[in-house]
Amino acid sequence: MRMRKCSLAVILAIVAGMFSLAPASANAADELRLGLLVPKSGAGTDWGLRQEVAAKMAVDEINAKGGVNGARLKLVVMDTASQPDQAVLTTRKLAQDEDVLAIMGPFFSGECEVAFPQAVRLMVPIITASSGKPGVAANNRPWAFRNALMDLDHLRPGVKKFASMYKLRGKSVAIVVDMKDAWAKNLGTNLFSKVLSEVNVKVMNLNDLVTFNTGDTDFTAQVTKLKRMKPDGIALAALYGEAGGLALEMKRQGLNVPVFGASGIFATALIQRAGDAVEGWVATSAFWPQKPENKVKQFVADFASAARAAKLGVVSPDHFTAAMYSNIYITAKVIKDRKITPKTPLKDARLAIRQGWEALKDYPAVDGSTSMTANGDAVKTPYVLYVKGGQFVAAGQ
Amino acid sequence: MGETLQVFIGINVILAIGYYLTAMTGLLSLGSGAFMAIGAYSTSILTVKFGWPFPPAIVIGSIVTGSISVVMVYPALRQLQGIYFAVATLALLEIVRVLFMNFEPTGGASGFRGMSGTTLPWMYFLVFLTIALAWVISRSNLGMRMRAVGQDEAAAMSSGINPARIKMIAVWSGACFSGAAGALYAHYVFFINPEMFGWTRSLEILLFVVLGGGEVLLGPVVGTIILTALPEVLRSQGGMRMIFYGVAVIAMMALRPRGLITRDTVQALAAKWRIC
Repeated sequence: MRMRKCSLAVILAIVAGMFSLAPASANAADELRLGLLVPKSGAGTDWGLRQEVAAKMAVDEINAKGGVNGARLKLVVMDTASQPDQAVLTTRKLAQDEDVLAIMGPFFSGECEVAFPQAVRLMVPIITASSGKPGVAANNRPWAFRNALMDLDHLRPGVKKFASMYKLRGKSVAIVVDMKDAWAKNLGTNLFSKVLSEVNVKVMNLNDLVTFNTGDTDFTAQVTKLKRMKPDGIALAALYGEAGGLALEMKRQGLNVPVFGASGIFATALIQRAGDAVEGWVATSAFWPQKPENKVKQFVADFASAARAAKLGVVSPDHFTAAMYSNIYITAKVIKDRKITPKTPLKDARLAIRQGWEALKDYPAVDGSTSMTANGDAVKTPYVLYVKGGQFVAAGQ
Repeated sequence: MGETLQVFIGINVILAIGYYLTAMTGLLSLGSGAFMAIGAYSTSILTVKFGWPFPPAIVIGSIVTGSISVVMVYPALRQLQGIYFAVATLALLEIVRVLFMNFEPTGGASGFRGMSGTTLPWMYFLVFLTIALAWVISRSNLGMRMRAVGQDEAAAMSSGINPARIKMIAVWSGACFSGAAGALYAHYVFFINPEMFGWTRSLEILLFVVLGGGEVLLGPVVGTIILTALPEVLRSQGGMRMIFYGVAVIAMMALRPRGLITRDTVQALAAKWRIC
């Protein structure tokens, strides 16, 4: 009996102790505080951790050069755990408790859908580097922005290049789609037919898409079906793992047609796995790590060391990482141009940052020239690449 | 404690009490998420599409949820017991999710936005109303019958209680509360989609009640408050956050298997402070 009452007291004491663990964060008066929302657990961990490294790298670089307007940048990082509820909580915390000037992130469109309205209410600029779902920024004007390349903005140039490279105007392609992945499913069932028709390429199987699921390893049935269709080309909405498997099966069965794969297949892992089976395949990307430009080479090298230092192992930056890096740099530039200092009243500083992002035009970011549009989505540089000699190279003019 | 955390705690308390009322009759329901979704969507349709003010909308949304719950759960109630009933409520979750995924007037898979209206005063009002109503039910004749059905259905039947009817009332009231919680949630986060009301939410509510104690009303309330606030409080611990949380949960289960607050606890506290 005493044990039971005692155990309750013990538990409550421990819990009370945990409550007292939460320290109030010190607000140094001479810093420019920026908030960062990334998923450090859950479905987006890999992307979130890399974005964090990139953001910290940018902040450190800027501070090493003397900060902005004489003050240091401070990054306040919070984990959204890939959950919308956490996104709401952390957005409000950053805006109200941490008094940040602007919020970078969150990562997922689902998180953005709920974080953006909160930021609008609290009048703090929020800029994601990764959400792609149509309309999310447009519905949350004027405080929400997306520094991310929209699907159609890289599909259109990609498909156009694909059609001209392989002379497919007036010919027919078959669509192959991974139905389990939300992004791929949207591409395959919705966007592909739209952009293909724009370049006069016919789709032969609109009502009979060739499908598979993420995680599948056997593509015999799909390739057999494709062979029977005799397509002039294939539009593949998939991720690089399954794309590699499909390529190997196509080689095995002797199906040799041009393939367009969009951004999902843009990964060195694709070529590592499928070798010459993917020779000539066309991909798109919002960032090209092998771009022969000094700024890009420097970024990739610096990121590799920073990631190693953060114990992430050997990782390379993807377009989410590059966009987050640019987010920090663009915000720093806006702060500099609008002469914001730690002494600027918070409300004015936030408004000025918002206006700076609204007016963004042709900023030379590491992932390409970036401008902002009136509906909150960025205009960025799409890259169209194809596999030549075992490497992704830029598709010619 | 920040406003958002208070609102989330309040919403979870209402959900936990809704679950608790159903569990009193011995029903293991994993349908919290589904009822939350129905409440969220129906209230939002009223406020966004028809321009209703928030208070009457949440009342109607709550009643709609209760009514739909009766219709959907009744067949399972008549035939299924225990774990089989739980599986049926899981199926309910999936049905509701797919329904809203394909229901274009509320956005389908893209989601539904534009609702707002949850404020801290309203939230506290509804939380206290829920606790008060649940307390009244618990202490009433109905509550006694619910507990009787929960403990031994056959014995209850032989005492003249109609278990099916009692369970139906329990499910209805539980669903009404869950629906109200869903409405509060929607009108706080300003955007909902079918993915937000999945089985993880149902499971979370179950955890709050199991850890807090399913014997008395105070159990779910205390369990919910502690378990909702804990991840936030632990945020300062960075990467170790969820590890601490897991350790705390295991400690609670090990030290207090009947729950943090049991009937004995309440009696001991009442005796100590000489209440009733």
